[in-house]
Amino acid sequence: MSTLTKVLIVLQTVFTIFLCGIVVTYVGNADNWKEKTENAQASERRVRNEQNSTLEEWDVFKSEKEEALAGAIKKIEALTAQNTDLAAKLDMSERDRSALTQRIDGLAGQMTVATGASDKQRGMYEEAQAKLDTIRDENIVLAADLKATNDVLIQKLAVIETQNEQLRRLTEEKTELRGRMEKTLLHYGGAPKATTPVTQTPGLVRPALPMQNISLKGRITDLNLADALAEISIGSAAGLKNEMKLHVTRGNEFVCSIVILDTDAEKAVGILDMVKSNPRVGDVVSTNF
Amino acid sequence: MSPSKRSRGRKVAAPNNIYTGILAMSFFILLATAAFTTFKCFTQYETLFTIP
Repeated sequence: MSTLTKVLIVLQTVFTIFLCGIVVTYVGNADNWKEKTENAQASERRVRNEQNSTLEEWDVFKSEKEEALAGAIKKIEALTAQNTDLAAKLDMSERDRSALTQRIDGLAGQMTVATGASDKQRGMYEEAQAKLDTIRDENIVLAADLKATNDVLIQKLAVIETQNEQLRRLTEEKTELRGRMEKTLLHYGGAPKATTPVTQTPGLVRPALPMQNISLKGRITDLNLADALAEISIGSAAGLKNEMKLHVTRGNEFVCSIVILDTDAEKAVGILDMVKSNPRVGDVVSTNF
Repeated sequence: MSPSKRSRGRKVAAPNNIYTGILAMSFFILLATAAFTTFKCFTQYETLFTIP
């Protein structure tokens, strides 16, 4: 074997080893493209399935949303129509409100006038009430006076009745005596003379003199409500007499009456009568109410 | 390879020496490489001479 052959053999061996090493290295580290392809295909199929299902879901979702959109559009149209109706009703309500506001203003003015009239009427009522109270008090006093006057009248009527009885009896006695006298005079032949009464007969009826308005005025100085007695600041020096009746007032209000029991020069004591309210020291006492 | 007459008439005996061993080694390495490549191709692609 020649040297060249040997050299070629060695070189061939070396490069064969080198080439086989490269090949083995390459083959050992090469990717399994088939597996990768299959995985990719499987992944692609899975993705495609997911895509199809997503597209189907999307179609369903889209149809639902379109239906919902159509329903919403219908609702919007209905609500728009309702809004238009409500706007028209609102305009009408606004007009009614302004009319009612004007009416309320008018009524408020009328109410103000009515309130003024009512206040005025209330004032008039209170004045009338005060007048009525005054008249009631006067009425009480007048009723008491009337009662006293009636009592006196009854007494006078009783006296008149008694005197009429006496007159009748005297007339009968006179008639009897006249008859006896005539008999006696006839017996002796004389005529009876006309009789003249001993007492003067009264003339024509004349109206009674009007009572003098004394107008005494004083104040209560002491009180004894337990015994219903009161002391006043005027007496006989002012013209006060026993059994005179004085009226006690406080402001414009009647309190009671006092019938004088005893008088002194500068003071007098009386008993309370027709007590409407308890008198107090300092209340005005007068003959005129 | 000598062009002499003596060598033409005789049985040629293969010389056994180091270079034979080297060649055998390279052959076996090549064979192993081919086998490995075949094995890998078959296991990965399940085919040998066709395109999967």
